[in-house]
Amino acid sequence: MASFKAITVTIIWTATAGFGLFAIGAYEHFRNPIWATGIATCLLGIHMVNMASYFKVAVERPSERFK
Amino acid sequence: MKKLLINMRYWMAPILILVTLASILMGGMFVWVGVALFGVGIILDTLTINMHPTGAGFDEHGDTNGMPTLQNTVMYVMLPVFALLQVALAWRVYQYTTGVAIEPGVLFGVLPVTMGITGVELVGAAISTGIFAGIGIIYGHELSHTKGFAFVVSRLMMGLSGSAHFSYAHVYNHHLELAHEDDPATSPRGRNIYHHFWLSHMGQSKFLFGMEATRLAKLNKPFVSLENRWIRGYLMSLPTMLLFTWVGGAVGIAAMFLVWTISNFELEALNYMEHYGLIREKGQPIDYRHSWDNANLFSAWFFIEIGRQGDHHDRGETHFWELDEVGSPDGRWGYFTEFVVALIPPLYHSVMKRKLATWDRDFATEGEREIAAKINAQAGYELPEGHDSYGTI
Repeated sequence: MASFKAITVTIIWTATAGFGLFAIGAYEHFRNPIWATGIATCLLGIHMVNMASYFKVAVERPSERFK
Repeated sequence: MKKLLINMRYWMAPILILVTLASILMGGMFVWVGVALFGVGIILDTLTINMHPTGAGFDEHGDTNGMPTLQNTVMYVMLPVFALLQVALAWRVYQYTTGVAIEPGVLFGVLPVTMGITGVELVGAAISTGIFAGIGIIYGHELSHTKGFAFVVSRLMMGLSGSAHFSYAHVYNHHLELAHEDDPATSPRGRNIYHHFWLSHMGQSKFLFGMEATRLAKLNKPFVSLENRWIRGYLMSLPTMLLFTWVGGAVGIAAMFLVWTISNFELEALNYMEHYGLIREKGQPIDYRHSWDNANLFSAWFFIEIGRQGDHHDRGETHFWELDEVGSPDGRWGYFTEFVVALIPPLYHSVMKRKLATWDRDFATEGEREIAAKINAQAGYELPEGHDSYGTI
C-alpha cells in the first residue's frame, strides 16, 4: 500500500512537472543547446525528486522476509 | 603467450560491445545485432552448461596468470566505449527525429552504413544499446571495489545508466549485509525478478540517500550540496540526459529511458541470481554458502568471473582473474540460461524451490534452517518428506 501511494505521488509529480515543461515550450526548443541543458537539468531534478519522494512515502524495507 | 591467451578469454564482452557499437553505426537491419548476440549468448551458455573451468589460475612460480595492466586497461577503456555506444544511438535518434532519408552512405570514409533509420529500427538500436550498456555492470562492479580514480571510473560507468549509487551501495551495503533483509540486493524466496528489479534498484539508491543524510548531518552540512554523493551520482548522468534531450527531445528521452531500463534490469537480474533465497542470521559472519556460484564456461568468461561469488564476497578487493572455486553452492547453470528461466517466474520458482531445499539440507545452519522453514511456508516453497531435491548444488 505504501509503495502504491509512493508511485502515485511520483506519477502526479512527474505529470505536473512534465506539463510545466510542455507549457513553456520545451518540445519546440530542445535543439537549442541552452534550452537542452535546462530541460535535461529539469528532467534530472524531476527524477531525483521522484526518488526522494518514493523513499519518504514507501517506508518498507526492500528485502523484508516476512510479510 | 599462454598467459596472453588466458587473459584474452575475458575479451569476449568487450569485443561484442564493439561489434554492437559498429552495428548501430551501420544501421538498417544491423541495429538488431546486439539483440541477436544476446540470443547467441543464451544458446552458447546453455550448450556449455556442463563445462566449468577454473579461474585464470597461477603459473609454475605461483604468480597469477592474470595480466593486471592489460586487464585494467581494458576496463578503463570500456568507459569511453560505453559513452560512444550512447553517442551512436543518439546519432540514430537525431537522424530519426530530423527525418534523414534512408539511403546508403559511408561513415568516416570507410564504414558502409545506411543513413536514416525507421522507428522499428530505432527501437532495435535502443534495445541493443541497453543490452550491452547493461554489460557495463561487470566493469562498473569490478572497479567499485577499488579506490581513487578507478572508483570514480566505476561511478561514471554506472552513471551512464543512471545508477551511480550502485558503487557505494554495493560495497557498503550489499557486501556487509548480504543474504539478510538489510540488503536490498538479496531477493527473499518467493519474489519474482520483475519485483526484485524495482525493489533492489530503489533500495540501493535509498541506502546511499540515507547514508549521505546521516554523514552530512554529522558534519553539520546541508543535504542539498555537491558534497552529497547521492546527488553527485545523479549529476554523473546529466551528460547522458543532455545528449538524448538535445538529439531528440521526447523521442530521445524515451530511447534513453529504454536503455536505462534494460541495463538496470540486467544489473538487478545479476543480483537476483547471485543470492536468490539464501539466508543469513543477523550478526553472523558472511560465508561461502551465502552466495550462488556460477562457474559455467561461457558465463565465467563473458562476465569476467563475476560468478565466483563465494570467493568474491570473501575477498572483495581481489581482482577477478584471481578468484577461484571455494565450495559455494553452485546452481550449475550459466547466467544467460538462468536469466531466461527467471523471466518465467513459475518455472524459476519450481527449480529454485528444489535447489533451496538442498541448500537448507546441506549448507544452512540450524538458525538459518529455522528462518528458511518460516519463509518456505510463506512462499509456498515447502516440499513433501523425501522430496526429489537436487543431490548436490
